[in-house]
Amino acid sequence: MTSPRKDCALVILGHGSTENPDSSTPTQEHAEDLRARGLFAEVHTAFWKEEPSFRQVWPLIESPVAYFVPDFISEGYFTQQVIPRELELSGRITQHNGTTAYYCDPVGVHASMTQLLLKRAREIAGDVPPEETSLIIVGHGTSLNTQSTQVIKDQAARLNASGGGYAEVLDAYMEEPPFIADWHQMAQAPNVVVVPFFISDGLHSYQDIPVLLGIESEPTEAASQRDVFRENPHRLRGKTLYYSRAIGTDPSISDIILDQVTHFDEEYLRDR
Amino acid sequence: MSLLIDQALESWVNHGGNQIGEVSVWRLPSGDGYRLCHVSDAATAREHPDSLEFFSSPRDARLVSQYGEAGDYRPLKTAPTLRRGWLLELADAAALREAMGNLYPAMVPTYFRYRKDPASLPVTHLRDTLNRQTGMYRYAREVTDEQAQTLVRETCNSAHRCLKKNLWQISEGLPITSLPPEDLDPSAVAEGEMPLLCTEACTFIVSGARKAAKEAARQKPET
Repeated sequence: MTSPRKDCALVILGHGSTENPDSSTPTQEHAEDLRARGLFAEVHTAFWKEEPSFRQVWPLIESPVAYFVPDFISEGYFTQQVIPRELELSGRITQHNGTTAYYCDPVGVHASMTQLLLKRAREIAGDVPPEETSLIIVGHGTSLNTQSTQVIKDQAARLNASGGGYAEVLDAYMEEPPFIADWHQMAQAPNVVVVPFFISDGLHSYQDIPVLLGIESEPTEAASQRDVFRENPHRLRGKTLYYSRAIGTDPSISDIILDQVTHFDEEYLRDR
Repeated sequence: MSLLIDQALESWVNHGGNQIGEVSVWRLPSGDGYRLCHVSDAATAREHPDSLEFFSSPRDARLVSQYGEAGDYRPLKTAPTLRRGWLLELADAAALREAMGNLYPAMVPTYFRYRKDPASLPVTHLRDTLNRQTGMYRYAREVTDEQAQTLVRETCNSAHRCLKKNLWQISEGLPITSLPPEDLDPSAVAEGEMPLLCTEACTFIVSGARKAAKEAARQKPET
């Protein structure tokens, strides 16, 4: 349980999109949820591709202390290069014009993401036996930073060891091998559950990956601009495929954001 | 904790502030709460409020600002494309600040910071923004000053693209010459209107610079 920090600001950092209206929605909703809980003096969002931008966020902060939690899926290019550069952070703790900035871990590396993945997989394919099902965790993958894929490899390893009962748990990516487009070749079981390890049902998880899976022949409109979310299962390429919403849309991510704040205190402020 | 921004915003309305971007703001006659609508609906809001779609939460402001009249996504909230037909009633200054944060992100705190002391508001010139880009945007720094001026004219003009007043230059001592003077002047607003201030080039300029630089490189004859 996170104790109130009434003299602190919480800033949730997201990617956002200039093309897809749903990209920033989960981050906005987590912020609204946490604002309503009244645990912080102020709760803000800031984005790479939307407003307020990372660069615009400093004038918003009135509190002497601000926790910055990346609503990002992995430690990688954005959390290690772009965000520190744009926010002018020099490390975990930065003094910035009278504000002490605490830079927390991204939500995607939190230990409870493993259970969240299992919960999501069971929700969408609860009626099929796990031992006859391949579970694929799909991520973006990028040549810009090798650590971007590590978090997904780690999750797949944990899920294989967790006793979730799946025939196999695999990792796959949009832009580097093993490619998600080859899902039917890599999956051995007749049922395949694919969970996007993404923050939102945005451009990649709602529009791009369904084309790579073969669910759609070309990218559809954004999720919020369609009447119904897709219905499972899909009979494709000799398999029964279940495709989940992005993991980051789960409301429990709000609690993970708070956990990352608590974790920061324990890890970096214990001796203060 | 009551935020200083809430108090400043309340005082601003009490002293005649009535417009932020395309939004009309006024205090309810009872003095209890605020109402907002599109500036073009201000007369309707007072005479026939029931003809407008009624909202009552700051969160609703996010939904109002997300799509234009034709249902098109508005990634740039300061674009002059806010949809009409809504009336938003808010309980207090904190709710007003939150709603304005959804309609025009960061604009209210930025303005109050500027009003208090313009020198305290950090402004970053375009070259500094472009030169620190990495990844796919590292090409953006190759844009020429002339290309940058064209890009600014096409991306920032208040008539069609963005209502913010540019405070930044191409580089220190090299001002923007491709926008009308009123788009660069925070005082060029109507009485009671809060200017929206741009302290640094946005993602549309950075993306546009990358595109312009790449196109120019493609067209350059091989030597």
